[in-house]
Amino acid sequence: MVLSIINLSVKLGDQKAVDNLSFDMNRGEVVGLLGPNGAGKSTLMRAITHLQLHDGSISIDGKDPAALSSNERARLVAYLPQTRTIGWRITVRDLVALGRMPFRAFGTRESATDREAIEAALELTDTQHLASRIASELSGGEQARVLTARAVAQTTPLMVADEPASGLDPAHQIMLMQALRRLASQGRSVLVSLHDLTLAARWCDRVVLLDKGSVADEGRPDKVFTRQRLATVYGVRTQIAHSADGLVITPTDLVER
Amino acid sequence: MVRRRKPISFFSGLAIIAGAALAAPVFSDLAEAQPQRVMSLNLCTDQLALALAAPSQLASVSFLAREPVMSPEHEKAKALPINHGRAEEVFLASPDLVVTGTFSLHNTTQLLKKLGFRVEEFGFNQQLEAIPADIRRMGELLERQEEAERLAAAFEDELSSARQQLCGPAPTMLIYDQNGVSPGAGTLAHSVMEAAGFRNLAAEQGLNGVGPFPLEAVIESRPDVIVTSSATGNAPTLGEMVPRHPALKTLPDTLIGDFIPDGTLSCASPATILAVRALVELRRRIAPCRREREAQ
Amino acid sequence: MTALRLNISLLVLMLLLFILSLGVGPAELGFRESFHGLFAGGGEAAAIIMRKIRLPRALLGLMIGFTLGLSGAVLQGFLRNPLAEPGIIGVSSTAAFGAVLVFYSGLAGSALYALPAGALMGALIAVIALLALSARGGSTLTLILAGVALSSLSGALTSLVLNLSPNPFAAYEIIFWLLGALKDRSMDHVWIAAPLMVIGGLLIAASARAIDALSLGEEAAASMGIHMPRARLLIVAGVALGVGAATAVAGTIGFIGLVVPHLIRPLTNRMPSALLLPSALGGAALLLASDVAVRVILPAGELNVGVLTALIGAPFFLWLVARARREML
Repeated sequence: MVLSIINLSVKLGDQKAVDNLSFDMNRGEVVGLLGPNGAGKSTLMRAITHLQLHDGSISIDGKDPAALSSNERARLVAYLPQTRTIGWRITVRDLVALGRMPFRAFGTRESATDREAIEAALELTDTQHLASRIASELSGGEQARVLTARAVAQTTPLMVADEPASGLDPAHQIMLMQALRRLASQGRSVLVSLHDLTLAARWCDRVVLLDKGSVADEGRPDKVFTRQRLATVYGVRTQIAHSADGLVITPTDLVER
Repeated sequence: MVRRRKPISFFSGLAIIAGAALAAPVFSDLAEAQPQRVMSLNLCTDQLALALAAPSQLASVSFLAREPVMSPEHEKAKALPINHGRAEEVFLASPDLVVTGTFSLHNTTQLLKKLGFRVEEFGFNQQLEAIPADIRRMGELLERQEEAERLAAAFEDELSSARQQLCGPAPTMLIYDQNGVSPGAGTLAHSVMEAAGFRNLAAEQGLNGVGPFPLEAVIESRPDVIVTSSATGNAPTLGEMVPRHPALKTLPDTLIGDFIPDGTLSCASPATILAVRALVELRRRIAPCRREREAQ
Repeated sequence: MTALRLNISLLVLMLLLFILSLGVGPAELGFRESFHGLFAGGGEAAAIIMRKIRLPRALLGLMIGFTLGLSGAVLQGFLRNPLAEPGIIGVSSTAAFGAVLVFYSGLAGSALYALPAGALMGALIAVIALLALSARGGSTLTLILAGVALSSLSGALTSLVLNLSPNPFAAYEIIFWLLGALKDRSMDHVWIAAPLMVIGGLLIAASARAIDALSLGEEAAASMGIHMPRARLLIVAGVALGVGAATAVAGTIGFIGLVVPHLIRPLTNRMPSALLLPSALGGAALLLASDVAVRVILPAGELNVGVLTALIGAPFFLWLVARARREML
C-alpha cells in the first residue's frame, strides 16, 4: 500500500473539516477525490502532505511522514497545490528541474539521474517542446502540465494533486489525465481531486467521495456514481449514461428540498 | 501704553492718552533711571549682562545662558528665570530694557520695538579688540559704568601684555570641531589664536569664516596643535567623533586636546580673555620664547 | 551570459571601483604615493590618509553595497516580489531609528557599539512585521504601504529623539540618518560592522535553496523539502544583521537593493538563488561608484551618498511601478 489513512481528523477553528476518515491507495492507482466545495478535499490533501496538523495516522509507503525530515518527506510525496504560482519568468526546464530539489544539495551540478528524471517528466506530460519557453508566458493549460511535470520530476511513489484540471479547456483536461495515467502505469500513484464527474469516471481507477469531512462512498466509479448517491452528496439531479467510452454524468438540476 | 497708578477721571485719562499718542513711546522716559528689569534675549548679551549687572537688575536671560558648554556665566544664570526670545515672553515680563543681538530673530526685535519696548541691539562681534567697547556700552545701558570700566581695563591690559610677549616663529594651530568644521579667517577664534601667538592653519589654507576642513587636509598640513571641544559624555553625537578620528591620533608631532575653556569662543564676551590666557599658557609650554626660557 | 562569467565581470568591476575609491579625496596624492602609503605604512601623511581615512571608506562602501544588494535580492526572492528591498519596505529606516534611540540617549555612553546594537533591534522589528503581513497573503500594495508607513514613522521618531537630545548638535544629524554618508569613517566602523555583515551574508546564502523553491509558492516549497520556519528565520536574521550593521555605520542608504537586482536579473536565468551573488557584487560596485561621485561632484563639501542613490533609485522605482501597474494590484 502506498498510502494508508486511519481515523484522520482535522479541526479548522470550530469545524471538523475532516472527520474520522480512513482509506488507502495501492501502487499504480489513480484515485479521484471528489465532493462538494467545503467537503474537506483540500484539507485532506494538505494533511497528507504534512502541511496541516491532524489527528489520526497517515502512512506513506510504509513510513510515518511525521517522523521524517522535510527532505525525506519530499521524496515520498509530491504536492501540486490548487493555486498555480510561478513567481519569476523562468524557463520550463528550470521550473521542472525544481522538482529535483529534495535530491540535490544547493550548489551541486545536475546529476545524470536528475537529468533523466527531468526529461522523463517533460515527456510524460508532453511538454518537451516547451522546454526553453518562459513558463509564465504559457497558456493556462500548458502551465498546468508544466507544473505537473515538476511534481513528476520529484519521482515520488505518491503524488497529491489539488484540482489540477480546473480552468482548463476539454483538450487540456484530457491531456492532463492522460499524463496521470501514464504515471500510474509506471507504478506510481496519484490522488487527484476533481469536480468533473465524467472526467473522474473515465480516468480514475477508484474514486473517494467526500461529504462533510467523511467518506460517503469509495470504490470504482460506476459503483460510487449513482443518481441516488450524487443527489445526496451534491444536491443535484444527474443523468447517467453508459457510452462506449465510459460513464457520462451530467448534472441537470438542483434537488428540491 | 500708559502706566496708571491711581484711578483718574475720564477726561483726565483722555487728555493723557491724547498726549501720549503724540509723544514718543513713554518708556524712554524711564531711561534716565537705572534699568531694574533687564531682559537679555541672546547668549552673547547674556554674558555681558551677567558680568556687569547688579544683583537684582536682570529679569531674565536666554535659555542658552545655562548651558555649561556654551555659556561661561552659566553658574550665575542658574539663579535667574530664562526666556526663549519670544515676543509674548517679553510682553508678559514688562522689562524696562531689552538687550539682544542684531543677528537674533529680526521679526521679534521689530515687533518689540513697535510695541514700544526699549530694545538695544549688539552687533555680532568677531574681533577681540572690540570687546572692551561692548563692555563699556553695556555698562552705560545698565548704569554700571564703574564695573564696566574695571572689567574693560583688565581685559585691555591682559590683551596687550599677551601681544607684547609674542615672538617668532609661531606654532601652527587648528581648531577642529563637530563634523570637521574649523574657524578660519575673520572669526573670533582666529583673532584669539593670533593674539596668543599661533598661526591659524585653517585661515592659511584659505578658509574664511567657519567651514568644513577635510580630514585629509588636516593630516597633510600637520598642525602643531589641534584643539577639540570637550566630549559631551551622556549626550553624544556622531559629529563629535570626527575630531577624534583615529587618523588624527597617529600624527606623530601633533598635540591634541581641549585647550580652550568651554564657551569662551562662542561669544565675543569678557570670558574670551580666558581663551587668550589658555592659549598663551599653551604656547609658553610648547614653544617658549627665548625670554621666557631664560626666565625659567 | 553564464553565471560564472557574470560573477567574474561584476567582481572585476567592483575591484576597479574599489581602487578608484581609494584614489579619490581632498588630498592630492599621486598614484605611487597612495600605493606606497597603503602598503608600506609609517607616519607619512600619505600612509595615514590611505590607511586610516580612505581604506575604511572604500571597505565600507564595498561591504555596505554588497550587503544591501544581497538583502534586496533575497527579500525579492522570499516575498516573490521584485519591488522588495530593505529601504522601500522600511527596514533601513527602522534600523536607523534603533541606532539613534540607543546611541543618542546615551545608554551606552558614547560607545560605538551602541549603534549596531540599536540598529539590529530596529531592523528585526521591521522584518518580522513585514513577514507577518506577507504571511497573510499580503499583496504588493500591502507590502509597499506597510513600508511607507514604517519609514514615515521611523523617520519621525528618529527626528524626535534627535531633537530631544540635550546636545544641541544632535538635531542636525538627522540628515546623516535619513540620507546616509560614508564620510570620515574609520577602521573602528569597519570592525564593528564586518562580523555582523559576514554572519548575515552567510545566513542569507543558506536560504538560497528556499527562495528558489518559493518561486512556486509556500505550499509547493514546503512539499519540496524546504523547512519554511527555518527559511524564514535565516532570511529575517540575515537581513536584519546585514542591514542593521550597514545602517548603524552609514545611515540610511536606499534603493541599491532595488536597482541592482533589477538590472542584473535579465542577465541570469532568473532563478532567485542565481541573483544573490551578482546582486551583492553589483551593489558593492554601485555604492562605490556613488561614493566616488559624491566626492567629485562637490569637492568642497560632500553630498550625502544616500542623496545620489535616491536620485538614481527613486525615478527607477516610479518607472517600475508605472510599468507593472496592472500586475501590481
